[in-house]
Amino acid sequence: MIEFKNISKVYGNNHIALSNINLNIKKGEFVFLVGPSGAGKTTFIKLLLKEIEPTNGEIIVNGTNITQLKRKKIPYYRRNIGVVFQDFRLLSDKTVYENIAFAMEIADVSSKDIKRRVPQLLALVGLINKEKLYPHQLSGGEQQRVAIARALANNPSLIICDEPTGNLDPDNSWAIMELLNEINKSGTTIVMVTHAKDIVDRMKKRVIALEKGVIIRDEQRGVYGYED
Amino acid sequence: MDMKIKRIKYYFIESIKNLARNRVMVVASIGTVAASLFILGIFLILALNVNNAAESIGKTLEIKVYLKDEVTTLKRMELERDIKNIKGVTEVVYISKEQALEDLKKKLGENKAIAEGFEMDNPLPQSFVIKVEKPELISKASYEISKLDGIEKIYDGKGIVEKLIKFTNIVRVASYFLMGILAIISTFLISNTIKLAVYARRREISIMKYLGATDWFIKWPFVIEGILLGLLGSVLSILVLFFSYQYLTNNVSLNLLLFNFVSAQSLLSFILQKFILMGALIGGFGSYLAVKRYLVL
Ligand SMILES: Nc1ncnc2c1ncn2[C@@H]1O[C@H](COP(=O)(O)OP(=O)(O)OP(=O)(O)O)[C@@H](O)[C@H]1O
Ligand SMILES: [Mg+2]
Repeated sequence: MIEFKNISKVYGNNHIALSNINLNIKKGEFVFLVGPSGAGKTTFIKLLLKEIEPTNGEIIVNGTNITQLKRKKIPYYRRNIGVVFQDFRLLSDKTVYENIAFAMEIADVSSKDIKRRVPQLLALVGLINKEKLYPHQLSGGEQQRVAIARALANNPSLIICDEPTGNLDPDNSWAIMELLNEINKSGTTIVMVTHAKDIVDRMKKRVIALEKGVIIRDEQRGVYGYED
Repeated sequence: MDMKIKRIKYYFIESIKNLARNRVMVVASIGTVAASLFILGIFLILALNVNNAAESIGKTLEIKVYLKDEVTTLKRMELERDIKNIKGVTEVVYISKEQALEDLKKKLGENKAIAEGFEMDNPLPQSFVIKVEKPELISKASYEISKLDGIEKIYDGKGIVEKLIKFTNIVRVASYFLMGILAIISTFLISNTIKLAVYARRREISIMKYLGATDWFIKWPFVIEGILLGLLGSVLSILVLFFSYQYLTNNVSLNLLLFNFVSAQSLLSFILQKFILMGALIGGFGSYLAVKRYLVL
């Protein structure tokens, strides 16, 4: 599903954020990406989203070499990836329903299909009765659930999360993790960056640890491995 | 089809939301577009009326040629033939000394006693009244006539029409210049308005990119916003020009003038499409500049 071949990223100030990364993530896997601050985790995700270009190497996603993807094709590539951020990134002038529907409108989904799909997604994330509320009327946990519903809107084969529980209390964090686990069970690949030790330790998923731009550990059913 | 309409509706709603968010810049942009087109409009009003006047003056304008007393009938008929051969001359009417006196008496009316003494020794000269095809040909024709023998004096309206045309040419250059400057300022202001709208929306823009929005999905609302600004400016200028010109034509006495004003309706039909198109072009160009420079996708 995802293959990194000799990927290096050097930022303009000659800072090496990633150096010679090789890895393989299979379809349906749930992968935690951990490591201290500045290790290169967000850089990894940005490369995957084609927000930045690698200095060296190739990234293959679903059989496509995305390093060679034409600029015009990038939006269509991104529609196949759901993204969830620490700060939710909902549109504040749109309701819960509209936020989810908008992701589908952008992807040229017909009104009929949008009307059918959005209630399903709201049911999945447990927000059926909040569809008319605006993001500022929701708790952090609820906002993150809207973001997950939006990420799922176009049936992506991959969901990328950059510290999705970073702004949430433990209870809400667990609710989000259960939701992501459900989604993963239905076949969606998940790559999640996190600093939450207890989550990683309890989920017993694959753990890839980065340090100073290098993979120092890659374990199935791994643990967080840092004290922070 | 349904999707297309929905998409276009979305673009318009977004652009109107952007307009509502930034009223000061919106007013400034619309105002300068309107001002530049207003100046063009003033010139067009002037030009239309001068053209109209030149045409109506031209139709009645004559060259009067007074002949020396010693010109004989034979010589006079020769002159008449020569004048008729001059390019642009359409009609030559001979007025004898007697006819001239009759005309004068008619003009004097009750006071015709003044002309009484003239019966014995008529001091009025014989003359030709000459008509030409176009007002521009008058001075050329009168120059040709002046080269002929037996001519005492020529009155050709002293080139009124040419002076009018020259005057409009100066006004034209001045107003194009002013309009050009204002058009540049309005393009700049519109582009600045769009720039502010882009900055105000940068969070939304980055989210849309993650969701897989195409460049044009993001750009259209801004481009439309600029075009709307230009259109609103042009509509404003059309309304101001139409109503103030209508007021002017209704309230200035036409009797004072040699010619009729061009009607407010025909002014409107002359400028309507042109101005709307120009407003849209100014607006479209302004947003094109802003989107190109400030919308980094
Ligand atoms: N645009 C940039 N220009 C220059 N250097 C950058 C840029 N973005 C990131 N870096 C540097 O690259 C390194 C990796 O950054 P990255 O954001 O990937 O870290 P991270 O693992 O996500 O850290 P955190 O856990 O704090 O989010 C850091 O040292 C950072 O300073
Ligand atoms: Mg990071």
